[in-house]
Amino acid sequence: MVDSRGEVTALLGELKLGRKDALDRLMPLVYRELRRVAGRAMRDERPGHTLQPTALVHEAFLRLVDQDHADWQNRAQFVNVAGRLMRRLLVDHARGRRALKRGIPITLDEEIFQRPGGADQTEEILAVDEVLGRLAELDPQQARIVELRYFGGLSVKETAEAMAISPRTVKRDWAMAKGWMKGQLERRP
Amino acid sequence: MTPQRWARIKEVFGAAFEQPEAERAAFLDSACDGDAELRAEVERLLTESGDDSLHSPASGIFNAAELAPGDTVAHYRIEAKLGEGGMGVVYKARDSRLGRSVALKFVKAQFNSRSEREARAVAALNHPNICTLHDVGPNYLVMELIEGPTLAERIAKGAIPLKEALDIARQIAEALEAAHEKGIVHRDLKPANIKVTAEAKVKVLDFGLAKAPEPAAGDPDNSPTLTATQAGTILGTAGYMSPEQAIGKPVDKRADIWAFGVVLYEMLTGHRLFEGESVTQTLAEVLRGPIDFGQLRRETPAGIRGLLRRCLDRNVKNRLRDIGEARVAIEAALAGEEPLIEVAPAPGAARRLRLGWGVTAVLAMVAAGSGWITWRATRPVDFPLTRLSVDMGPEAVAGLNLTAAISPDGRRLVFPARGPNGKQQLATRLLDQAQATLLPGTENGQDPFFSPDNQFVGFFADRKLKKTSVQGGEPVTLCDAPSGSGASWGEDGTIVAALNEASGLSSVPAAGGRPQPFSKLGKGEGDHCWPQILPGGQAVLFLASHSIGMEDATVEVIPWKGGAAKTLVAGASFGRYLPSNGSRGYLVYLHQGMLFEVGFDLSRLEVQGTPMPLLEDVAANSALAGGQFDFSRAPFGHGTLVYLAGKAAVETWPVMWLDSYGKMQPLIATPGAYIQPRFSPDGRRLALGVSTNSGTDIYIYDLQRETMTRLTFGGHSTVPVWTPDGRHIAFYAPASGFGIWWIRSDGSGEPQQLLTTQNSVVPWSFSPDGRCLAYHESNPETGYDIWTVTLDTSDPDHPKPGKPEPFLRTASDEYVPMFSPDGRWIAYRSNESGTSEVYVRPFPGGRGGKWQISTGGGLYGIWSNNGRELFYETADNRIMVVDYTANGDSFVSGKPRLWSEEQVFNRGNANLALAPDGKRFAVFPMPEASGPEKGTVHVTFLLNFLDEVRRKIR
Repeated sequence: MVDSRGEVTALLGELKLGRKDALDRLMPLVYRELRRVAGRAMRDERPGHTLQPTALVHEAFLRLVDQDHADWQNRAQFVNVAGRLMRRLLVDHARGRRALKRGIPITLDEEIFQRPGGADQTEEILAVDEVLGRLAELDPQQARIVELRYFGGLSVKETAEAMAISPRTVKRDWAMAKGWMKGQLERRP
Repeated sequence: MTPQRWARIKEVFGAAFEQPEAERAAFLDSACDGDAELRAEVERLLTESGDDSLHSPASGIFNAAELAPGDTVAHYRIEAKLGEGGMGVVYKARDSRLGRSVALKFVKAQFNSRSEREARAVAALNHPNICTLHDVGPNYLVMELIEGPTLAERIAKGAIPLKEALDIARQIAEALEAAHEKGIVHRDLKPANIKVTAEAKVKVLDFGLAKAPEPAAGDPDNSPTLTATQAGTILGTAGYMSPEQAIGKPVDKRADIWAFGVVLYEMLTGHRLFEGESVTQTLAEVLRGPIDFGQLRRETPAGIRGLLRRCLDRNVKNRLRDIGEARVAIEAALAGEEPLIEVAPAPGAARRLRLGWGVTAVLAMVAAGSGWITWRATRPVDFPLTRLSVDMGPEAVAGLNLTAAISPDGRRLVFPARGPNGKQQLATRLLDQAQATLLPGTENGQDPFFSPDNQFVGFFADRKLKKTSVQGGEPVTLCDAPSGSGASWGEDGTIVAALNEASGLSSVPAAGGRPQPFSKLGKGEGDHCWPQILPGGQAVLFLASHSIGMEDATVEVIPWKGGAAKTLVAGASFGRYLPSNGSRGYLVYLHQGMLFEVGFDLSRLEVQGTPMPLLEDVAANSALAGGQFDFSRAPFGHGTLVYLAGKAAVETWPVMWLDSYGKMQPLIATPGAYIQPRFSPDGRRLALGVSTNSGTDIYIYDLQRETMTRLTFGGHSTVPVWTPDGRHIAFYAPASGFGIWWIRSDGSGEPQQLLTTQNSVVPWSFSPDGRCLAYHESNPETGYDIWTVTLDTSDPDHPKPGKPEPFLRTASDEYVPMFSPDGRWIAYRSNESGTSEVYVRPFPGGRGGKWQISTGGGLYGIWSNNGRELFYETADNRIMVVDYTANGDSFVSGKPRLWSEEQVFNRGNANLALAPDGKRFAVFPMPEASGPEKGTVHVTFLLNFLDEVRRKIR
């Protein structure tokens, strides 16, 4: 994967210049790396066996982006893409999980699907994904915020940095998006 | 919604959101200007936005903290914890609004809007025999508080007198009837969910709250779903599951009727109807175990006997359809009337059942004390299953990889063993002989596999795929295998192997030649591994992993000539084909730690029938999804399975003292998920990482006071490293960004960041003067590297780091650097030789010199304070010691010798701490369930295994 570094850095650059197809080429590279990093973390000896998805994104960034040429904006850009990918990863995983309906005691998977209180989040993830699609049509910015906050696990500050908007805007939009989505989630059949 | 409308709502919401809460109403009055709909919408959004039920699934692993009396949840004040079960924790609480006592149940199960709606339907059930659900919180239920024992507690004391039992059953039936009429199925009816008050009033709890099983993807017959969400928690439930529930099919009210039958049976007999030592065993009983109606007391009315038979009909179509019928039958029996339900047992049923018992007894003798699941056999047993435990000898090694491979002719084993130099090496033994012989040149060999002619064995060693003759001789390297995960040798002389991770399978001519890609990773697949060439060489079975980790792997088959791979079993690991007769055989695979079998048609490459559990004690490597078993058709097609018995990983363990005589004594007797112990320099305190539901934090154990004190909070701190004066601890906190943290060891003061780095770094040891910290870094390019940083500790609570210096940065991984007591040497681990070994280099670096300390694998180097001894942990978790003398820049070390025979437990993190006196270690003991017995490895042979497989699947 180390050979993809230059490519990823270049693609992030292209993305910054507004080339849309760069994203399509970037996604599979980052997606694969995210999964690889997560998979490796389970096999390697690593002190402290907690793995946070945000840490995962950071590590993927370090592995994929040429650090000498990485600048702050590159990082924000990357976090942006990774947030989208975390969504895909979680949703793919939740679909598989729902389909299989089983509960193997596993570490990473469990961590992702257990929420405070210990409830399984599979159904919620799928529902949020669906409702988020509708939100994106109404308000792309709010949808991006939900993606980064909910799926990417980013804080308000990190989200603001990734989107180059003020934390106050993030807070306000996040609040409204949450309120709207909650109504939608309740209305689902 | 139109974009204009959205924009308007957003505008008003945004402005209102910025207002102080008290002023929002007034603000909205003016801003909405009479648009009541707008106002309502914004108000709703404002209210809902305060709700915090939307937690990022990426936000980690925090579990709800335990509540204590006096805590409040909404308007409920917690008074006492009543109990804890599979569904969650239950508290007694006071409803401060209505001034009544209630039970608050925090539900672990899925709790989204759908189950919430369901819960509300239950809340609408108003029936004297149903525990009233008052309210539903975000993750808890507010229920009627019912005092009194559960029916389970009653039955535990023995059978319930007939009339009383029937009266209880009548009330249960009434409760079910009321619920069924509203379309609500209980799904988890069992004595533990039924309470009987002092006034003999029955209350059924937890209606409709059990997770509704959804149909599995694809053909449900092929899906090994046991609905075993959590094996531990469903053990109490399994015995009441209906057969259709047990195999994961959707359930309706007839599942409740089955469970009702089980409960009634148990009330009348005082015995469990379906009981096993494990979930699998219990479910096997549910599916096929005999139901002995002869256990019912003689005075049991015929009508009740008939009712039980109708309720306990495994065929859901023939089962009693309406619980109301049960109520009528019970009322009739109570009134002493004739049964209204016709009873027509299947002809010959009783005789067959009795025969079943006899056969079970024979099998049970064979299987006594084992993990074998006993079944009611259905035809004569001519070649009974025979279980043998075979001692592999003192040199055998049991690890994560295959412990014993059996040749196709069933006459020979090949297994990893310790060679004379302490290195792991392959050994072979003919089963008719007592002695094993080492195969020369097979050092570090693992996962052996036989050639079809039994004459050769292939294996992985030192990142290569190799083969050697079973008679000995120099092995031949076939190709590179950076990360081998299984291979299979075909009849045509082709080997199909998983040579590298995150890639497809390759084929290699066994005679030598370049490897060719054999399978390609499909969309969304992460890895192909554990191939098996099927008989006839027409297809290859393998395991495909799909996402993070191996847990959602699928057993797939791909035709030899190419074409698309086909999924055979999802959610499985390590599939193996067992040939039977002609093109029909069996696929066995591991699923949730159990070995399952399912029919397999070799010509159509399809599984057939329903998967059945076979064994539940097969050891497996969960990280790589490898299974610890091998199979031979011999002798004469009866089949022999060889496997390593093991259990699922243990969750908690104590901390023990270990001395050089191998004596273990408790240090911290209370078990916990302890990692990375480190003694304070004065030896009075032990710092450790402790994992709990809320993550991993550092705790300090005071040896004199025997108290455990928590040092860090937040669930992300580990690897405590004491400063030489014992006043501070440096540690690793991965979630807080890259760097090293620092905290006072007495718990006063806040943690601070000592060092900020570009990559993830882990502190490991201080120089004796405390001015230099050695740590390892995870570098994306060079793997793990060792760095040091000097510290200005003139203000000990705010040390100032200097510029970090690389100590060792190579393409291989170097880590866990440990300063010698004089600060002139660093012991560390490196995998530069292809194996992890412990080395020593002088500090500061640059003086050249490197000495390998361990042989045959080493994990952690630990210096004694006496300046003469260096300890290390071997790859198989024993402690070795090396004497050394250091003269100037030269380091002279002696031959490593075993310090203690005792094998210690290692969960993949540092697991040893040497007491400052250098005489004792703090270690984790080997859990009894896992790992081999001291010094010896036993593998289990199941003879006539295929006969048994055939019997079971019929």
